[in-house]
Amino acid sequence: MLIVCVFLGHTIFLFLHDRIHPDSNMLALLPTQNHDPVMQRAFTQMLDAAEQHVVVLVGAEKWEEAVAAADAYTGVIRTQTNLLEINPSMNRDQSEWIALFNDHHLRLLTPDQRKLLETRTSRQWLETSLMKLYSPVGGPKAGAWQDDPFDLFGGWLMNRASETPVRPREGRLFVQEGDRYYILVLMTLKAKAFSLETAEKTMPVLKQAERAARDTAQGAKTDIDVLSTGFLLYAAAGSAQAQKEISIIGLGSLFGVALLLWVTFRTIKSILMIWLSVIVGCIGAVSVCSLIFGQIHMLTLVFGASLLGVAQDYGIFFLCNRAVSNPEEASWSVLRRLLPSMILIFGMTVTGYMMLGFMPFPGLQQMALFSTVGLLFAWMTILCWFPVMARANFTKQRAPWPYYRNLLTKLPALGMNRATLIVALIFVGLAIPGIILLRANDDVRLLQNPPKYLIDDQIKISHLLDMPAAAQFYIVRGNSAEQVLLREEALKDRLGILISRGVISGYQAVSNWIPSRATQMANRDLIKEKLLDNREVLPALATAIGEDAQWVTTMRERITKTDTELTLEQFLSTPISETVRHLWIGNVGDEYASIVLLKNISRKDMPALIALANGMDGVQWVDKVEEISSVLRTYRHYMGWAVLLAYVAVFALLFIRYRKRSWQVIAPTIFAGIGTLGILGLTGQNLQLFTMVGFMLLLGLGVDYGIFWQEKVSGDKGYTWVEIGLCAVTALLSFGLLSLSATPVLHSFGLTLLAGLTLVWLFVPFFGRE
Amino acid sequence: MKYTSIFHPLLFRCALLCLLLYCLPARADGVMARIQETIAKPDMLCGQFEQKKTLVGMKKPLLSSGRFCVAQDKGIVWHATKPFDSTIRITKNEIVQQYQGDTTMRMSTEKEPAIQTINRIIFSLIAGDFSPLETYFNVAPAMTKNNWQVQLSARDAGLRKAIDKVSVAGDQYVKNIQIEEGNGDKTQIVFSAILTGEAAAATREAAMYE
Repeated sequence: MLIVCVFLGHTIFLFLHDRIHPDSNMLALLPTQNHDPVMQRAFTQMLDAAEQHVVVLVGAEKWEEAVAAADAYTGVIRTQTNLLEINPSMNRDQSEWIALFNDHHLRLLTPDQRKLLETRTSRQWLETSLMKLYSPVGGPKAGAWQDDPFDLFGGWLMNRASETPVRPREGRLFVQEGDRYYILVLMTLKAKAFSLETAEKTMPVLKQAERAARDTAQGAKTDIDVLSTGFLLYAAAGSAQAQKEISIIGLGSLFGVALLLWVTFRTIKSILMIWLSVIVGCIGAVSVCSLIFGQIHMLTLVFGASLLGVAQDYGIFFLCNRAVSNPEEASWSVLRRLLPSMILIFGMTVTGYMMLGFMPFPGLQQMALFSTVGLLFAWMTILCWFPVMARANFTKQRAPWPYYRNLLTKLPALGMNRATLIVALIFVGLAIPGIILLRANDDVRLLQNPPKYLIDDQIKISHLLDMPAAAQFYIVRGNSAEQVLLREEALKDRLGILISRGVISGYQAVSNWIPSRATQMANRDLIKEKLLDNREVLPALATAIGEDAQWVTTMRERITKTDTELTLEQFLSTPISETVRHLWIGNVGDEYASIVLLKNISRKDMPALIALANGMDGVQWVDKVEEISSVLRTYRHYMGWAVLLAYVAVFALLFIRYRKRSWQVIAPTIFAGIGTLGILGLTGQNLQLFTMVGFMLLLGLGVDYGIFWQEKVSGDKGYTWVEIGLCAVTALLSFGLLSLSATPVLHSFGLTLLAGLTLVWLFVPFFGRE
Repeated sequence: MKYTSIFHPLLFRCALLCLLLYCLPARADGVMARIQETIAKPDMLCGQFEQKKTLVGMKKPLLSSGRFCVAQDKGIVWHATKPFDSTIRITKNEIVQQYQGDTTMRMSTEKEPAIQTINRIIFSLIAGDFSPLETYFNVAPAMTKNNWQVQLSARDAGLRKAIDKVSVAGDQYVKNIQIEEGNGDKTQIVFSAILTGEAAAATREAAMYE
């Protein structure tokens, strides 16, 4: 009693002080298997660059309409400065950073420019320069013609600008597609993106802003697009879904069980008792879990709460046996008789859950702890309080479920007869093709099932902004920053071939902005050799515009006046470097590293991209999606073996008590397991890690029913059958309902148990019948 | 996954240069309204140009001349015949430069989205909608009889470094443009022999749109 009060107090304290912020980042559940510090830094940097951002594009047919809509949007956001901050869209005076690069303009060339310098004739350079000089609208140029007569620096700047289609206009950033303008609104969250609280507070603001933007279209014949993306939106959609499911599944389970107990015992007391055990379990679990992990994940709550449903079994086990016992017998003595089986079934389930905890999966560990602690609390509640509360008169019905009990007598006996053969044939005939059809799919994306509009918006936004892939990229390493840049350049040479073949459409790399020292020297030497010191180019230019040799000398001096190396430190100190700063990993341990991102990659081109890195020193292809999926695959295999091992272990445990009858206890579960595999295969479900978790639980629960059946504590087979029915239906109500979940993980887990438990329930009476 | 843009003032300059060449600013006051009424708005307009560039530190001014066309739905052809034959063609989807018949530069909208904006601004201005200019410049219009003149001065310090002052003058058509850059370089363009309608469509430059 005291213990419960303490934990109840703690839980209330947690709630009152708002200390429970369920985490909704699915990735937080995954194992961190990466021991490579460079790679860890790379992922952290990529994530940090994106995690806190919300990206919105407000689109309209006319520029003015887009501006009005975007202003309406930002107007709403600006009232909530404590939640969201709008990133400044444009630093009006950009001349500063251009001036910095201008000082090093001889060192900066694009790969195409280098190629042109090597192949073009002096005559062609003369023409280029004259075109530039005379044309009134010859495209952009950097400063005076005399500073950049061959438009090399201008071309380099253009090349940098082409890394993004986003352009400034009237103090705003926009992209254009066809006839539509999209104004970019980039916001930074002030609070953690993966917190339920942030989502709850921020989402209504975003919705309101979106409505305000759309409302600007009223009256005018125009349609306003508002596209949004960001981790927050996914997290919010995930939590909303989980919350909806918790309530549906939770309420369904709660009232389903209540109804069931009412039908069986016809007393409110029995319902309240079972609820009590579950509630105490939940309180204990939440309290202990937040003490140990500091934070509870959304999925833990969904999963854990339903795992706790098993606790009802113990209560039902006790209540059923109390009901059929001699009314004269004291409840304590009933409990004493039941104790060995109670310990056995509790041990079985906890063993199963603990197995989950041994997996190096933070998510599974949390769920395992949550469920084990919850079960322990519920179990203790039953042991300590139920005998006090449940006297012989707790039930008003001595023989519940008459029709169901009659079923038992009608079941054909299992043995060497035709009925057995037919059942066996049907079973084998369905199970084998099912198992053959069974496929595995470990794709990490199955962990989440975001709504379609979110995915659509994200695809549209990445397309409009021409964003590079964020989960697949190259990591380049070296002993020094210089070596990293050199290796990036070697990699980019190879990527250039893929661009010309249309495999990718471009890349982003720090060396696009700051070439290696060696390349900087080579660029300068090339410009000097082909243009400045060339005996034909500048003199011919002088002749063409009526100048003399003096002018040639002046020009040469003017162009080479500033010719120093651009250093990484200089570059990283400019505001413009913010666009690529997340690509520079820098110094980690005794090495340096950077990230090279690719644009427009598709799954089918992955082998080519992996092959590209082969044989290149310090270049590594990283695919986060594939990596996590392969981790999931490894654990699925691992879990598969663990399930088989668990069967052996459980059999060994059973053997201690049941000896020769042990196989009768475990056989229904084994056959149900095989049957479930068949059903999953026939229904086109994929095997994945969480299916295996389902099988582990199936073993834990299924064996309980086997034990109940063998124990016949009260000697009434019919009542034991009712008891198993009660347990099975309550379990189906808690786990089976998970199969309704829209989250693929929960769905597959729920379906496994729905099929498995139903089969165990059906199979149990065939084994060990007298 | 960083979405910040790389701002490019150069594209701005390009856009401004373009629009300054062919257009004039507007203000909803009386003078500007009258200027707008005065300007003809043909579908196609072709003519001769003479351009004089004076660069700081150069002894002689740089002279060039040729013919040009501006068409509402097609774009701009700028065909210089002196001192050498060169063409710049700005259409909805690309900018193409030719030197004596050889293409020396081609930039597509796909690669550089600003081109579309450049064109659109030019066309909207030719159609008489000059308001976009006021974002960047202080506009001072003046009119005497059928002649008008508009002075533009950059509002922004950053822009002033590139294009300091622009002066546009004309009557029924734009006749004269002067651009002063921040570094002291000057460009003067004079238009003459302007043709419209069928006469314009029959010119060699009009055929260059294809």
